Amino acid sequence: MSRLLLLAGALLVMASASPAGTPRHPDELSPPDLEFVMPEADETFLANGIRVLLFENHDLPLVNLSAYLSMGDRFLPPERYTADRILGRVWDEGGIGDLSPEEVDAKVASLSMSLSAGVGHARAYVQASMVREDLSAGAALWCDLLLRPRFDAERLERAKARLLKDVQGINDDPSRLAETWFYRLLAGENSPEGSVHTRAGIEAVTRDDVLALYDMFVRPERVVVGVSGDIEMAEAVALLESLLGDWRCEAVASSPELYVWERTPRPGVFLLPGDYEQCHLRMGCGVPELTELSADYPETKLLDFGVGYLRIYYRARGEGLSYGTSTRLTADANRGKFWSFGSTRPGKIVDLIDLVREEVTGLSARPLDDGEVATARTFILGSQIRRLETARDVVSMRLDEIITGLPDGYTANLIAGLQATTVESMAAAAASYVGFGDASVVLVVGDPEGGVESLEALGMGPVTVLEPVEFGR
Amino acid sequence: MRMDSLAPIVALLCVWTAIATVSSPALSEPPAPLSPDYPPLFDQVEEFRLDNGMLFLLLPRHDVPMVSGTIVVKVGNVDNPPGATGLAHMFEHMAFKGTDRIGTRDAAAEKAIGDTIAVVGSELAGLLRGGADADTTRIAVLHDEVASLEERAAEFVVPMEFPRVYDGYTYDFNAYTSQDFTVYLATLPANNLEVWMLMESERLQHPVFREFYAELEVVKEERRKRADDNPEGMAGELLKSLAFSEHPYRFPTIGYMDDLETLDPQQSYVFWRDYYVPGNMVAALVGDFDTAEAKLMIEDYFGDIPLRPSPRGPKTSEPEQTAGRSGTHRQGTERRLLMAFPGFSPEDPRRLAADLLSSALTRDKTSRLVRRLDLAEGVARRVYSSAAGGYQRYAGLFTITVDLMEDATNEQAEQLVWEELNKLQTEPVTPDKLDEIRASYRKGFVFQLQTNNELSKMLATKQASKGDWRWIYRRFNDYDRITVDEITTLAGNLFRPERASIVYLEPAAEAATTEGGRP
Repeated sequence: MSRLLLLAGALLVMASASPAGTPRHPDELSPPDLEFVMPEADETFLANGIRVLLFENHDLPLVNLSAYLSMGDRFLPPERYTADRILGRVWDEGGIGDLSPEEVDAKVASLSMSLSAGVGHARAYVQASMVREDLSAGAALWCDLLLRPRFDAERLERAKARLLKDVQGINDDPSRLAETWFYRLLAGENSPEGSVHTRAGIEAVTRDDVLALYDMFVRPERVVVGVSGDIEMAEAVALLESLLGDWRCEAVASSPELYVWERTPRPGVFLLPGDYEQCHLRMGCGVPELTELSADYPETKLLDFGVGYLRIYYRARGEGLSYGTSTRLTADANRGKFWSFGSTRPGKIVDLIDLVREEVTGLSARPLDDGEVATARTFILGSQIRRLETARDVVSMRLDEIITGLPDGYTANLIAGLQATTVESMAAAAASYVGFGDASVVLVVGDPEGGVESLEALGMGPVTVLEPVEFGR
Repeated sequence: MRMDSLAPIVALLCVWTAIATVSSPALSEPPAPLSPDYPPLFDQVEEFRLDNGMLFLLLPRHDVPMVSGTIVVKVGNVDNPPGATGLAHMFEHMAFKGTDRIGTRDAAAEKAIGDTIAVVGSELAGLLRGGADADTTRIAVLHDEVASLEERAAEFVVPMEFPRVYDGYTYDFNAYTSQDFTVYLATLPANNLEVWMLMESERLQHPVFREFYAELEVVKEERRKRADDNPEGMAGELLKSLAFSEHPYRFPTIGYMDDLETLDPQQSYVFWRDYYVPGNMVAALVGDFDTAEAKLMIEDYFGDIPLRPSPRGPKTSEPEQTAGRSGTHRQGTERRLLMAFPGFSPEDPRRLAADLLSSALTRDKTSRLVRRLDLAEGVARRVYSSAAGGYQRYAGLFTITVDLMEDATNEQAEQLVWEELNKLQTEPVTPDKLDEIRASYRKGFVFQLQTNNELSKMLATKQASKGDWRWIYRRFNDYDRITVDEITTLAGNLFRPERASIVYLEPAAEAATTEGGRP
């Protein structure tokens, strides 16, 4: 089933009749409405109850197989985050079925396919993409990666060493340092966002820890499967039945639910000293009342772009202050957050903070106007359409919706909601969600000209100088 | 500020011709079907060349109501005048600052001030290039004057109107500058195709160098972020400065900070005038459009760009390297080994063999350097190589980069790399491995065809760099002809200590330091 949407002129607000001759300004153009038939994946269920999404496209001889799982650190207490991360890293590296890691490497190389698995905060994936002629062999590998990973001990140690190295890499990158510290301060060191894997924590993870997590999460009732590309539906279903139809797990008393952890934010103004050519800024707060299901979520999508990009990013660039400073207003199924990020030379960090605060606090007096709302709407609608460019995209978007618990028709409703936004509804949403309140964290990493005093002069409160931490050492 | 008045030579060079177009059939000599690497969609590519010499490649695809457009200008870092590293990249930034119609409230008033800024800016740049002997008092006066003039011009500027307006019609637009090319990319809803025509043709024909000095500060911020505060970026700059002694490939595309200080609007204008000419540009459109309608729009919007002589490109030379070179950059806490060997010009048939060789070394976990340094010895977190295979105008570098694990040393990694490189002579790449690599190229190519954006980039960049977009599939037949012996011989000639340039990125106890070259 497909839905026809008419994406009308987000831009007509600015359009006027075209004069004679070749137009030289977009205001002289009147683009027609865009007809967009929203592609939708077909759904079916395997005999064992696994939900399957299918989308055919025979333009190119490619087939994609995906399994999405409800899984990740959001379901776990903090002491298991590191094992969860290592599971995600070793899953597609540690051998599968009867094949050693080296044999899998050779097989994947010989097929020139992509075969990967990973674990995010609230979902995991096992994916394979291959040319049509390799479907049989590629699908078997994909299935084995989902159901029969080996987690080879040597590759597990390699994954641990590489994770440690990645953590150590934070120390060399002031932008990553700012990001890491910001979330530690905003959500607490035990939160999925704010925790940083330690050397001791990484070294302590055993293969049994990884296997226990795998067994806990990788179960038919937590999986949704997608097939897309150059494959007929009947063939796809038959293939999946042959691969996954016998997959059953013993019933468990309780399935993992989202873990409720205690947030321990440290609002305030912080400076992490560092000898860099730039100062990096992070400034923001949680928005607990905003979720992807909030009635005014479409407005927040437009605010995210309108405030962060149209107002702050362009002004900071126009004034020669920064290469990339912006704000973000985002939400997931549970809560939202609003924050600013950027960097500039040490002599201008105070100006940059002033600019961001001025634009954010000034939003009530000068809300986004018709033109800005129209621009944001076009961009955000476009980004939704762009998410559906390939057959794999169509299936992935729906898999994402299902695995994160979003209702059927979510994206279509979101698009309708975006089209219904008004200047007034945007202003109301901005009043609710956009701002730096008392619970905000303001963090500067670097060596601001004028030192601590220059930040204190901003009047945001006393400045706490953070003690540097050598992550992963 | 329109800069035309500053350079009357432009008018002398402009040769107006009535708009006529030359349209060629899709493929004059259709290649043999090479399934899956020659999908039928390439039959739909139409070449459309305007009388002014600008070439468009048009590929309709109607799956999704989107269009992706790419414009490649054959100008990059190599074309910068001496002492002006970063100029090509700076111009790319200026291409977002608007035109004499977009971004201004009063074009004439703004132009008058802009002309003065250009004059003052030229004097200022001249003094700054004078180095330590420059008249610092006069420099300070001129700095103030430029700032004051830009403030006055700001009264007539609609800040950032060009990108703000473009945002209202696109899903994405961006640009990048490489050593050899400048590339402008956009993806739009299909109903806004004419907006792409207008915006792109306007900035190619009527750029205004407004807010130049503010934008220069943005570029400096970009440099601080990508290079100065980035140990890997600085080590990469050192490697290029070692590996080339004369060729402009030795300079960073973003430019040295002291060169950036001396850029000025007039210089940017001359750069645009000389290089942004129709015969030096290729465009590709891929997506949901009607070819006949698109061609009419192309004529309307791009046909007026005056015919001007295409630039010759810089005369380059690079003496043969006869002794090994090395340097050390100390910054941050990580270690990285960077090795470079003189590569091959685009026309040199060995260049494709170098692609295969690079793949044999680092394509995946079965590749030699990955197997040895990462999987067997645990020395490397990441190993990768590049033969600079598809996208340069001159002979570049064959590079090998190793990011080290915690307890590994650069010396240890270098020794292992040399052992594996030397082993290519005693244990050559096997025919089976070579076949596997070739097959991976063909299959990987199909994956690249999924999105309009990727296809559009591929068509335009290959046309600009190879002179024929069909290279994107014809190369597969060339790869098939390369033998194991050729790969072995190539490796033997390439990987020699006297032809190597090596940089060691080492942790710094305190402030960053460099030994062996610039930076």
